[in-house]
Amino acid sequence: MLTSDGPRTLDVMSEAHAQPAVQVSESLSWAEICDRYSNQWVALVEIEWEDEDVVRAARVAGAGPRRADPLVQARALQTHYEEIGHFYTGRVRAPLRGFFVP
Amino acid sequence: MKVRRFDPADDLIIVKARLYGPRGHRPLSLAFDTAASETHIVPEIIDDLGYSPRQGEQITSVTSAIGKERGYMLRVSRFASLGFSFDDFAVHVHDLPEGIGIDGLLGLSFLRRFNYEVRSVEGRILIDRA
Repeated sequence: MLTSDGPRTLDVMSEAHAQPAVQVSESLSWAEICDRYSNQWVALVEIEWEDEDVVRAARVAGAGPRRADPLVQARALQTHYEEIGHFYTGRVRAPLRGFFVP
Repeated sequence: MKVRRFDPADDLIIVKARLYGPRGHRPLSLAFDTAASETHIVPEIIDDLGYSPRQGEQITSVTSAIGKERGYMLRVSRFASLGFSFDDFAVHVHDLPEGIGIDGLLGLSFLRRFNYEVRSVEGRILIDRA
């Protein structure tokens, strides 16, 4: 592996360097999260709650169009965060039929 | 009495819930659904929390908006919503359409333990332990 610092090999990399890099955003309000990650599923950490049920602000640890995307991206953070929220930033839409029919 | 808010502009009544497992807990959005006899959670969340289908107590099958779905019933270590929590709570693990923006349904297996009043215009649910 060549970098601007000169040659490096895997055997000199620490275990920390071998961990997958996870990009975590700065703390954002829920409105800012919805704007920046529009119509996506997001994984949130360091959530600031309002009335226990409303996200006031959080850091985004993963995002994507599929439900599983942010969970996969945030998986490496599970040892650091017990609470990882999973929410959709777009409008909730009802299915054309009921969820469960007899 | 506890009071929970929801957005009356949404197509569904969405409430927050928390599911606990070996890898922590996940705050989620569920549809408040008095037409669902059970509380349903999508498999992605269950897997992410460290549960396995092998821990399922029985295989279940439901007819849903996306066809006939097979799933399973699982007891999670703790489930919380609407300001109340229960240990060793049974949820049904089934897939739901991706595009609707929820992680599951809060059904009667949870709701029947309470008296509640849904005030749709105000976007409020009033809940009392029965």
